[in-house]
Amino acid sequence: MDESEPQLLKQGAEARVYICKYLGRDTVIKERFQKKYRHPDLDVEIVKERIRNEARSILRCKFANIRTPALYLVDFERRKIYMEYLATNITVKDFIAKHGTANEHFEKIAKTIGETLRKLHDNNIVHGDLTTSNMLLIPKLQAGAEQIDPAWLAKGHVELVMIDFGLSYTDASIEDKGVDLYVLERALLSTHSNYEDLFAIILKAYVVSNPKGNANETIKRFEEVRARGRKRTMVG
Amino acid sequence: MVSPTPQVSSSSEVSPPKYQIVELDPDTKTKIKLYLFKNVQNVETIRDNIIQGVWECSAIKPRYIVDAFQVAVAANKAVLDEKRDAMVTRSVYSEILYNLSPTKNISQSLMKFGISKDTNILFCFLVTEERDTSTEIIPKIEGEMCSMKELFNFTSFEETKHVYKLNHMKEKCMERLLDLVVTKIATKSFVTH
Ligand SMILES: Nc1ncnc2c1ncn2[C@@H]1O[C@H](COP(=O)(O)OP(=O)(O)O)[C@@H](O)[C@H]1O
Ligand SMILES: [Mg+2]
Repeated sequence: MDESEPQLLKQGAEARVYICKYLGRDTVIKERFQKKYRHPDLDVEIVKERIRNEARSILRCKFANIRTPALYLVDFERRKIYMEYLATNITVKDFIAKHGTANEHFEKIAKTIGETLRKLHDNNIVHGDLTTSNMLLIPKLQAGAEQIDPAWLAKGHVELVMIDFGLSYTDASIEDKGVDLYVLERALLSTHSNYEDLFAIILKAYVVSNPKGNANETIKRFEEVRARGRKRTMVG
Repeated sequence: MVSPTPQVSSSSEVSPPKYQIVELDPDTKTKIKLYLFKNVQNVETIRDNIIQGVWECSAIKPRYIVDAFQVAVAANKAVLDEKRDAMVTRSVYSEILYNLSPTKNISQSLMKFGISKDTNILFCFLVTEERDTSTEIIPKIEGEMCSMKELFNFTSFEETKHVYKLNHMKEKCMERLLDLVVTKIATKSFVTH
């Protein structure tokens, strides 16, 4: 990797993601660029809010034992977040595209997603942009192992990392959580052909992973949100 | 002139440096240089010189430092904030201590992360092309210089966990601890936890 020149990794609608060496480490820089259609002052405020949300939720997740990238610098002036580069990763989206849902690890991964979302919501964090591109699978180091096993994915030695918290918020209500699940369902529907299996496993794990709490209420609210959505599509 | 006497092998071989250097944000053109000492005898002199601004360096308790990277993250923010006139404390060296600390109380932060009677000290110098204050200060430290590779021997996992209020952590994993600590440092100015 070049020491000084950042390399473009992903160009999104709101942000560019670069990798470079920073403070001696491989680092991802997420830069939120200016949107020309927004008034400049408003643009600055929106970007600040997104950066603040992203950083705050990433930290909160760590306290909930949900893996997120480590943050190295949050720079409002440059509109950049500097974070740990997870060099070895595959997005859940690419994993499903490549390996389908008929492989032996699919169910475990879907279950982990459900459990992780439940942990998020139990800590009143709503992600706001739940898609399979915002979930990364990284190698889980086995006990005693010093290095990553090249066959980590085939062996199912994976850990789930949640990213892209720009639209997230904390202190979420039941309605917000219901909407969060609905956003995920819509995203799965548009990205994956066999989304129903995937979503069913996720929802089940979401409910059973913690017998305490109000998951059933959230699911009920999710179903109401979905019904409203259907009505809206039928009318519109 | 007589030819120089042959050197004994131990001194002709260049021993690896004991200090550690980390380059900060490229815009700052600054590096940190870290030195670790134990059994320091002149702690009071060191403290006085730093407080009076005669010696330009931070003297850090190594007990709560998991890795040099933790100091790099704190120092990087301090140097950037100095450039932007956005520091909370009066000097960039006290700002490093303040940034390391999870609380916003300045005097508490300096007490917790700085040294009082501690004889184990981690020194952090900000070095630029023009200026390296370590060359004049390090010879005045009366103590045993250790390699930065030994830092982990000075770190207390439990106390660090406690200081940063990370009681939810179950496994004893230094990597996860460093992850949490640097993320807390990076978000301190706008997150209350
Ligand atoms: N910390 C990281 N390590 C490795 N890859 C990352 C990291 N953060 C983001 N990426 C990659 O960049 C993509 C876009 O990042 P993301 O934060 O989702 O930005 P966007 O808002 O543009 O979707 C991700 O889908 C992932 O492939
Ligand atoms: Mg994304």
